Amino acid sequence: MVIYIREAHAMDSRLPMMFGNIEDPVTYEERRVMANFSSKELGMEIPAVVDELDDAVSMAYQGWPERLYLIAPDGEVLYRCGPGPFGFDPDGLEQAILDLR
Amino acid sequence: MTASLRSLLILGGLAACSAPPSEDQAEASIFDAAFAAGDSWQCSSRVELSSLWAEVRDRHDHNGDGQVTLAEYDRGEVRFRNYDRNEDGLLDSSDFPEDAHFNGFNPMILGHADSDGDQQVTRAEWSAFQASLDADGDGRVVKEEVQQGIGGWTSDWPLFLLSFDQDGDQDFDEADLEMTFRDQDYNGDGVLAGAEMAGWQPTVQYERIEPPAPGEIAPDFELAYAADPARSFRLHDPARTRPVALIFGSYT
Repeated sequence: MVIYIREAHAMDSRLPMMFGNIEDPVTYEERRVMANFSSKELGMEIPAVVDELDDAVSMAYQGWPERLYLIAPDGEVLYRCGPGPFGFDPDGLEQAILDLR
Repeated sequence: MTASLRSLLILGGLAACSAPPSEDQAEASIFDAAFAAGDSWQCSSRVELSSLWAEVRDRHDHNGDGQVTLAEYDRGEVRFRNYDRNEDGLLDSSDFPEDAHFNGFNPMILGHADSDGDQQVTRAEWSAFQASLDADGDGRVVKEEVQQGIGGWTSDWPLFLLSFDQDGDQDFDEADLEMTFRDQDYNGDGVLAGAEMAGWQPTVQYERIEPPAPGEIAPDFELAYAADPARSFRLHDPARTRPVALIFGSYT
C-alpha cells in the first residue's frame, strides 16, 4: 500500500527540485490528484491512500520523505527501513517479504 | 523520491506475491538518468533559479507586470516567503539571479562540512571539506575522489557531487566553492547558516519522534484511497489475514 504524503522536493519547498515543476499541495484534493498522477506517471499498480494535510500518519511513522514498513496482520511491525533517502531500502523490504515464506 | 519510487516497481511483483525480480532489475542504478551520456552530471536536483522564477511567474503573475505580490500568490505566506529572498514583500527577478543555481541536496552536504558543529559553514570549513576529498591534491575533486571519500558512508555519493559542480565542468574546485557561497550567502556575511543552508525557509517543520520499531504494534490509521476517496483503508482491520507493506512517498 502506497501512503502518499507531503512532497519531498516541491518547487516551493525547502529542497526544491524540478521533477515536473510540482508545487506542494495546499488542499487535500490537490494531494489526492498528485497521488493519482504519480501512480500513473510511474506506472505503479500498487494502490495508494492519501495522508491528510496534517501529515498525521506520515509523522507517526516518520515516513517523510520516504520509508518502507512491513506490518503483520495483527499490527506488529515486522520490518522498518531507515529514513529516506539514504536509508530507503527496497532490498531490505524484499528480504523481509521473502522471509515470510 | 521519483528514483526511490522507481526502485519499488521491482517490489510491485513481490507485493502481489508473484515471482521475484530478475537480478538486472534489482541492480538497476538510480543514477542512470544522472550519468547518462558518459560523464554528464546534470540532473533534475540542480535548479536554475531563473527557470524557477519563470515557473513562479507563469503561475502567479496574474496581471503580467513582472512581479508577484502576496495578493496574487494564493498558496500561503510561508511558501511566498520561501521565494522572497531579498525580503521586500514582492517576488521578481531579483529574487532569482540569472546565473544562480540551487541544488536540493546542498543542505545535506553542507551539514557534513560543518566540522565544529556550530550550525554554520564557513569558507574555511568548506575548503577543508573539499581538500579532504581531493586525494591527489590537484585542487579539483572529481567523481572518483568523491566516490572514494564519501562512497564508504553513503550510496548516494553521485548526488552530492551533482550538488556542487556549480559551473558544470565535471569537478568541484575553488570556482565552485565561490559560486556556492555567492548563490547561497544571502546576507553576505561570509558564512552559510540557518535558512541559507536550507536554501529556502521550510514549509513544514517535522518533529523527530521515534517511529514504531520491529516487534512493536504499528499505530492504527484509516485513509481514503486516491483512486476512490469513498473507500478507505484501515491498518488494524480484523479481517486482514496477510501482511501489508507500507510505502511512504511522493512523486518528487
